[in-house]
Amino acid sequence: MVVRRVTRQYAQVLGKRQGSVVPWPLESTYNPFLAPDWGRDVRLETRWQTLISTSAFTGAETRAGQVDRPHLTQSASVSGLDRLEAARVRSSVRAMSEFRQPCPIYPDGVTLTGTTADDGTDLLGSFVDRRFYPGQRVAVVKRDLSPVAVDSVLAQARVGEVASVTSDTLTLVDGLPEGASAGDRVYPLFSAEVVQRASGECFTDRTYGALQEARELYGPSQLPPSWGRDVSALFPYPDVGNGPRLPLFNLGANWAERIGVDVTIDGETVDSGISSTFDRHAGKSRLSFSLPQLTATREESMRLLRFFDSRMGRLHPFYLIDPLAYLDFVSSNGGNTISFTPFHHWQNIDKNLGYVAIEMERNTAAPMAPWGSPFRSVEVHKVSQVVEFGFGTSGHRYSFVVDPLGSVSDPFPPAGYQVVRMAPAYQVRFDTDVLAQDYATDAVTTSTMPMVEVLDEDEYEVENL
Amino acid sequence: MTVLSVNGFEAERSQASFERRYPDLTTNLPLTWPNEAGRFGGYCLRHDVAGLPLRFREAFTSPGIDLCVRFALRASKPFTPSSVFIVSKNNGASDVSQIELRFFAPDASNPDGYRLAVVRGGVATLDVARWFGDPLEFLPGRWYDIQIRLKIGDTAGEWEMRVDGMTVTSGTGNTQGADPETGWDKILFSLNPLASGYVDIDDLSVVNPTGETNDGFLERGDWAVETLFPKDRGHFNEWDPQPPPPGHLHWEHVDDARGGDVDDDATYVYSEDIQAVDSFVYDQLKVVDGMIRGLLLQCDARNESGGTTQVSQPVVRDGAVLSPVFRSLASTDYVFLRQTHSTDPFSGVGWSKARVNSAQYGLAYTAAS
Repeated sequence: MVVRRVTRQYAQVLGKRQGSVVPWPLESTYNPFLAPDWGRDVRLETRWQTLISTSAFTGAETRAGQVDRPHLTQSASVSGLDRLEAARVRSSVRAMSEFRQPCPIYPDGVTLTGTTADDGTDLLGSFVDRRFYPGQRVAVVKRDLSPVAVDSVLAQARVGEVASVTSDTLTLVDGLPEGASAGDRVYPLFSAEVVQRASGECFTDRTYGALQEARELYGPSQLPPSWGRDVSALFPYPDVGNGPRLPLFNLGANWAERIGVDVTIDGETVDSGISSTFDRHAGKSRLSFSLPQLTATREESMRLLRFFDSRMGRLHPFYLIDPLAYLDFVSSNGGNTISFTPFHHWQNIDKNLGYVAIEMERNTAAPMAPWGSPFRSVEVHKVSQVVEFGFGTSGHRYSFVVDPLGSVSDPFPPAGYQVVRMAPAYQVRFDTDVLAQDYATDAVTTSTMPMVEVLDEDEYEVENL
Repeated sequence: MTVLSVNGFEAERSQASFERRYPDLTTNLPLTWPNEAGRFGGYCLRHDVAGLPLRFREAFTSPGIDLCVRFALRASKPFTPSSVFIVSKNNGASDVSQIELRFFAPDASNPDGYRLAVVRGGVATLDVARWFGDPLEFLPGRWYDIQIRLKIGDTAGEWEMRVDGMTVTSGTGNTQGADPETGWDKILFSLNPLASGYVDIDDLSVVNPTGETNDGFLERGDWAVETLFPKDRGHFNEWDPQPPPPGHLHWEHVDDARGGDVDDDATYVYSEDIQAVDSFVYDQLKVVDGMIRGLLLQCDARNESGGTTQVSQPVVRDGAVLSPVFRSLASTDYVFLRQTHSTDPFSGVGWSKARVNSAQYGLAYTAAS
């Protein structure tokens, strides 16, 4: 009789750890907190890295994502308006030039709303729409920032590690010595690389200000992206039939500034005798847009960042509605045809229209449909054909044949709705890997989003990731 | 990618357990087994006895010429500059050192950190790890995530090393030792602290990248090895527990690893019946969140009666048993047996977190030899 004995068994799983930040690489004893001068913008740059190869014949692109986490850079002015503060600023700037340092993300600071007991772990406040992650380090700073107290206040800035975070509670791994009070501030920290060159200036012989530029340290301590690739919880994904499933960028532009719309075509100028000729590479020109953005709330500023992170910079495309709404809705057959007037001579109509966007609003005071929230209800359709049908006194009219018409098919627009805007839409990608957000306050930001049309991408190819 | 071996070092927190897992030690213990916290919780392997380098190695049968190894390393400042990782091949008479990673001591230009160099044949330095053009500093007291991809060959050899996801050295050429022997069949770690110092290792994985569509590394990011232990009775209870009931459930007899130790014949389950199955409910994943590349079931077993028999470690789901791959068991002393499930045998595709958590893992499905 064969007898087998087993005295223990266990399993080991090799896999990826997600949603948190890994080891703190810094052994610094430097106190990370230095109040920024909010008289000037604090700039946060979120940087991805994408390698793009473009076909010389079609303009089609192959894009390769080269990183799976963004890289953060923060630029902030810090001023010392008395000798003590000035000395602090000078020494901190110098320290950052010599050692890697933890650095607060200034716009993401949270004012605590409750008391944390001595050696307590729970910090109470609104942690929504801020960059706090499990595993990350945070700095807790006392409320009193008067010049008299500044020395002791700085000494009391304490660094802890985040165990978990919810909308109203941040739990530390270890208890916080001396606890915290309502009004104290907590800041997320990131690991900053040595600053190679920092500039500053003495205002008087007792005051000093400098530009503190902190570049995140590359490696596993980098903060994770603010959002993953599927951004459907924040942005609509239009039903475009056979078109690729992509989100619609529906944040309104800052019309206080000009919106750039350029047209380019790939090619090169070749010398030929006394003149030169243009050797066209792509079969079609490309539109590029420069959309200035203004956010008024914290939610909006993070929404913008999350969209950018979900696209991983230039990597993933999305839909964009043309800022120039030059189409005028006439009627629909309730099936898959929409008639419109182009508002200019028919010869100028872009028969290569890829998509059309139709914005609707309710005629009544009833709540808006959730589509396109927080803006009007928007539908985007893929155009399979443009047909001219009108002539004479009625003017030139055209029809889109779209696929499909979507959730509202008959009648169109549905009862209670009216079409308020109709414009071409495009499949675009960001034309930069860097989102630079200038924070005037912790919520009000300005930025510019350059975008460029992608051509012939019913499917698109992404390497590496 | 084929996962050859992993270790999160949660189950080897005693000398007996460690020697069972790595019987091929080249330097005797003792260790002090301080049970240090690991990189992502759990435990790591710490060696903090000066003057006695801990050298443990693992042998593989015909693994080919390609190799990817990933591990997390942390060292205190008093750390003897020496080899930390060596790939070798047996030439029929002895093990030949092929390519290795070797620490160099701090010097005047780099007084606080250590440098890591790629060395061939124990002599020739192929490259020094660099970061942004400067020699890479390894600071004391922090974890570094080290990945090494190797192809052991003469002119066709390749190496690449990433630290914290960044490539710090790479090249092609001769990666064989002084006594050329193509390929590899062993890896060896050498941990050698000075007085009051320590060297820690965690999240070790060894994979064969052959056939993989990407560059042979695990993707960038935070990869971990999480150890799961039996925690409850499962669907099958067909083996016999010893000591017998009442008061002892089967899973309680095979969960020694949770304490980092092994109790051998103090508690165990046994079977005399062909095709008898035991299965256990396991811990849920807490650290690993997705992109699971392999699940390895490991047990300590012995053949009490002598001769040769077979044991397997299947996956059990909804009362069904799959993947009964047998391992020969001839030893009358306890030996370490491993079964790799690179994919979920029930779906045939890669594991998900939910499927790892919902499966039971059987200790046994046996057949006569």
